[in-house]
Amino acid sequence: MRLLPLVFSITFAHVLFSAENGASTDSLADDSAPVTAFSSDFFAGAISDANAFDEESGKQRLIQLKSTALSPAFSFSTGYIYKNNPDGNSLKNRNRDGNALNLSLMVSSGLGEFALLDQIVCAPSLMLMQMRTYNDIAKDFGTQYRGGNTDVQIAGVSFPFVLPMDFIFTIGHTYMRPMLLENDNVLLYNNTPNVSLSKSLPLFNGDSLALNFGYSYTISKGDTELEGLSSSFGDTIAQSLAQSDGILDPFNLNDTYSFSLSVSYPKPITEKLTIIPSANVNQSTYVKGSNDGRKDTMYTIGVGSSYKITDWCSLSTVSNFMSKESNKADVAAFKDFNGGLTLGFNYSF
Amino acid sequence: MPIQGIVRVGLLGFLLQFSTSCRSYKDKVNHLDEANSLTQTGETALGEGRYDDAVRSFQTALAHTRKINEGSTMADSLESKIRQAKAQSLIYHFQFSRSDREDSDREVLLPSTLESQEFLVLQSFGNVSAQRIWAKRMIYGENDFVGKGRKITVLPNSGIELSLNPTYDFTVRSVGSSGFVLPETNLCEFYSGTFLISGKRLNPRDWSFVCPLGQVWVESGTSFAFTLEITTNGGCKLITLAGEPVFYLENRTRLALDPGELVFVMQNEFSQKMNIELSTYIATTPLVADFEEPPMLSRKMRQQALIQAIRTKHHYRALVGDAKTMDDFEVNILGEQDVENPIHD
Repeated sequence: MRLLPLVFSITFAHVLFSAENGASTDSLADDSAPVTAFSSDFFAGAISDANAFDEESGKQRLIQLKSTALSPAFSFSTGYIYKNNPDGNSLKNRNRDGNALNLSLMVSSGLGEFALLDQIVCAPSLMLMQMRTYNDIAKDFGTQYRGGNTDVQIAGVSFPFVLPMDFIFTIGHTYMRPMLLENDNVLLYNNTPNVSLSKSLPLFNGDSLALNFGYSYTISKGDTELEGLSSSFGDTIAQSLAQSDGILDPFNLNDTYSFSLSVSYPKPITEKLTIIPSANVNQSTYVKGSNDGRKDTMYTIGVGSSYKITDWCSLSTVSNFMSKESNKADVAAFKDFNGGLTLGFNYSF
Repeated sequence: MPIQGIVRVGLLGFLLQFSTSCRSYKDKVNHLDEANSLTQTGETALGEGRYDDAVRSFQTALAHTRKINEGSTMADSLESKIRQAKAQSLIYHFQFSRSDREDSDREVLLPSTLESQEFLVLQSFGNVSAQRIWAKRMIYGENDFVGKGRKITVLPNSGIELSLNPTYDFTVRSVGSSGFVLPETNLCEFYSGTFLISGKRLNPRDWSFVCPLGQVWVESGTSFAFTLEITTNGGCKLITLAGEPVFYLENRTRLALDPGELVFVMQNEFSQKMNIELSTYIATTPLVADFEEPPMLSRKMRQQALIQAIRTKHHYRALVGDAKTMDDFEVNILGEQDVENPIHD
């Protein structure tokens, strides 16, 4: 069962690849169809002349540039995800084979391109995203996971600096606010400043290997104790307890610093289809509250694919195997396998 | 392996790769050995009557000597040898002319050893010759000089890069079949071929060039680089690679050209501006690729190509070609096999 999404991904890639080849064959067949209006060599000279270019001049290929410095874009995607371990634990009697539906809407904008010194380019961008997750849409487990349906609002700004030798150094900041869909209860507020260094290594076969090393620090603020009590006992009881010291201070259980190291190999199969194997390791260290000293490590290995249907529409698959470890005995270590299919739409101005 | 170890190894690998990539290597030259070797070569050439070679060797040796200790005895000796070689060449030239070539036009030409040194050759390869005023000669590599008034002819598979000013921060390079004249230090006459002109800045009316259709003045407040291609109709095609040079025609028509913009110079007018893909152009033009040393502002050019790539909205399946008439220019269609990027017609 757990191999189903992987098999599906490979089958999907194969089908798309076959479709591409089929399309090429068809277009060749169209080209060779007899032309009745003109003789076959009618345009031969003109086409030959038009295809010739002076090698002493270099190729001067015409392009169209964006008309403004800002480059806004909208994107919407919907994806169906299979989760082998929907509970995220290692209990033997845990639920298996869960699923979820993700919907996301994003507005982003490039804020211009800036030349620094003679070799560095900075292209800052701004991003706003609303993401919604419906767990167990197939209702395999009744209403058990309904309470976990969430809305996540994300705002981010990043300043990528393209350095010499294809290094990219990025400074960014992300604000995230997940809330329960059931009662609009905001779970926490995360502010995450981050830096990363990435490099694309050219390979002997003309492809490239993408490496990324990142560091981030998450400042997390949860509900106050009063808000927590209100959601559990109602406002009246909560108000009666409000005299306690610190009841209005927000909980702080999730301040972490994280390191991540990832490698991916985007392999273009055709002009439209790309297969992307990847591996990632991430370590988060908690620094405040009852979680102080806890270290969680997540290993992920997977393969994805992306097929560009049109300029504004693409279909992608993903299948990942994950393993989580922790230095705290009371934190569940678990393994999970997930896979999914996402349809994305985007439009750039 | 603990995660800290993996992370540390990864970070170390990154930093190592980063530092290795950024490190520049430079061959160290022993100037004294080079000077001695070239002096010997020059003396041999002088003894064999090869005055051009002798002067060139002595001059290169002098350049090395000055890097060791300016005004040294060795430099004085080399200057003396240069004067001696030039004097001998002058005597030989007129003796040769009287005995064999009295009726030839060549007798009005001066010996090339006496050629003035307005333009320094930064690099050259293949067959490049200098004609007019002084006797015709081939140009050999760096540290050669070209005098004011020379006509430079570049044969196929050849190229030359010259400094147009004494501070070596204003250069012209040409490759392939081309011909141009350097009548003054502030004027170039381009007759055929493609050229890359780059410099730090140009004040108004400091420099101009002539193509068969007319004269164009160039001005720039910052570092700039542009290519110039003589078209079949006698005009030229200009493409800016870095900076924002401003071009003026004789009738004072003015045009500022940003990186990646292409324009044709017609008779007393400019064509509409077009945008071409800088990364493809820089990668394929022999003006950049065929020389051993990169052009001035090559980093700036790559930077501009990257900025343009971020700003690019559509790639067209078309290449800009020649302008054969006064009314239009050619557009060549790209074949499927030439297309590397998605096409939006």
